[in-house]
Amino acid sequence: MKCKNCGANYRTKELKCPYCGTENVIGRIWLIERDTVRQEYEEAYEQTVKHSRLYVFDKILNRIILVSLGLVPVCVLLAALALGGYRIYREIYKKVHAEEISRTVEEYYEAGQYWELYQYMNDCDVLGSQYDPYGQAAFMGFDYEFYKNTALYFLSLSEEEKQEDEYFLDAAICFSHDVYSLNGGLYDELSPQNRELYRQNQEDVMAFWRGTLGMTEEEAAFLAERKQVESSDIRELVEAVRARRAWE
Amino acid sequence: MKKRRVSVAAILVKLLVILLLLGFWLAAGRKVLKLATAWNDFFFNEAREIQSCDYYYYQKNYGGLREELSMDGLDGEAFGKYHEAVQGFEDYQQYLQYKKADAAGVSGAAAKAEQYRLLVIDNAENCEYSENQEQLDQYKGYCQVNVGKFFHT
Repeated sequence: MKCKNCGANYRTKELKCPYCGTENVIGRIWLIERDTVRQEYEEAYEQTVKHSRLYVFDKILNRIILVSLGLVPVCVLLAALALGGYRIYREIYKKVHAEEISRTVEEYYEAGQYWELYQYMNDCDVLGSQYDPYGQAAFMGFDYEFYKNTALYFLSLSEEEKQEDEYFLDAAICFSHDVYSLNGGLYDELSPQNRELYRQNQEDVMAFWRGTLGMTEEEAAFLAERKQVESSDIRELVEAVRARRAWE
Repeated sequence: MKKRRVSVAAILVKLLVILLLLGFWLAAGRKVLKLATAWNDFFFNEAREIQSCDYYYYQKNYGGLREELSMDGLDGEAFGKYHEAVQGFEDYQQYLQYKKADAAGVSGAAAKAEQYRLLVIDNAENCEYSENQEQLDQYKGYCQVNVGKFFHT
């Protein structure tokens, strides 16, 4: 278009004449119209997009992710607080009830209830050092209980079940060996008070091997002499024992 | 104005993230459920425990019953019947064990066998729960029939 002031030619879209700087009213109107059209387009686009299924779906997904991610730290924090609180409670309980705990421990020990002793000490979180006589007796009670449970479970089975059994006989031999070897020598520095208990346990296990399972003297001696027994050796023993059916 | 673009790829990635989060929450939920069940069992379990004990008791699986009683620490009047049955079975098995051990030449087994034989007889004679009487009498009968049969002494 031509400038009304200097007569120079320039593009209609320009807001001012590039030569003399006179304002171009048509250019201003064109700009306003262009912005209006663009805004209307944007609004129409937004409206269309916002109502499209994909957009709605995306919004839902965003919220699910936001809520899920937000809940993770909240739950972790709550769990940490609960666990921490529980530990603190246990520590306080141990200190406040120290006398009662030691009295109960002693009662279980004196009564020869070593499995109950283990459960109680474990519940009170006072198992601590394995070398104190109570802890030691508790661990021995734990091993003995597993041996006795599996052995009696096996003996409760019918003859058919005993022949098909693939767990209880193996487990009874393994656990009884744990009792005999003090769990592979894990706590072999026995306190004097527990030596008699250990002797009785050994006697019981030996009678189980020789009597109930009908092991030969050599087989029982093989188990008795070893701190650890290979699973292949246990398998061989199980086969021999099962063939003899000494429990019948 | 900035155009908001929603691409299918972005949605797929978000879906994957949600699946992972779902897995996490399912695992966490299971853990919470387990804890809640343990909590529930701890406080309101007697009827369920009795049902479970009955299962072993009527099958005469006293080994399983013993495990149930000892592992869950079930004590008290409600479980007295089961404890008596288990003790009777255990003493009888101990008697058999030492009797056979004595026959196999294990020293000191004879005295132990005699000790358990007396216990088996005592269990039958002082039975507190009539449901156990027959079984305990049976153990006592075996002990009396076989007395001294395998003993070296």
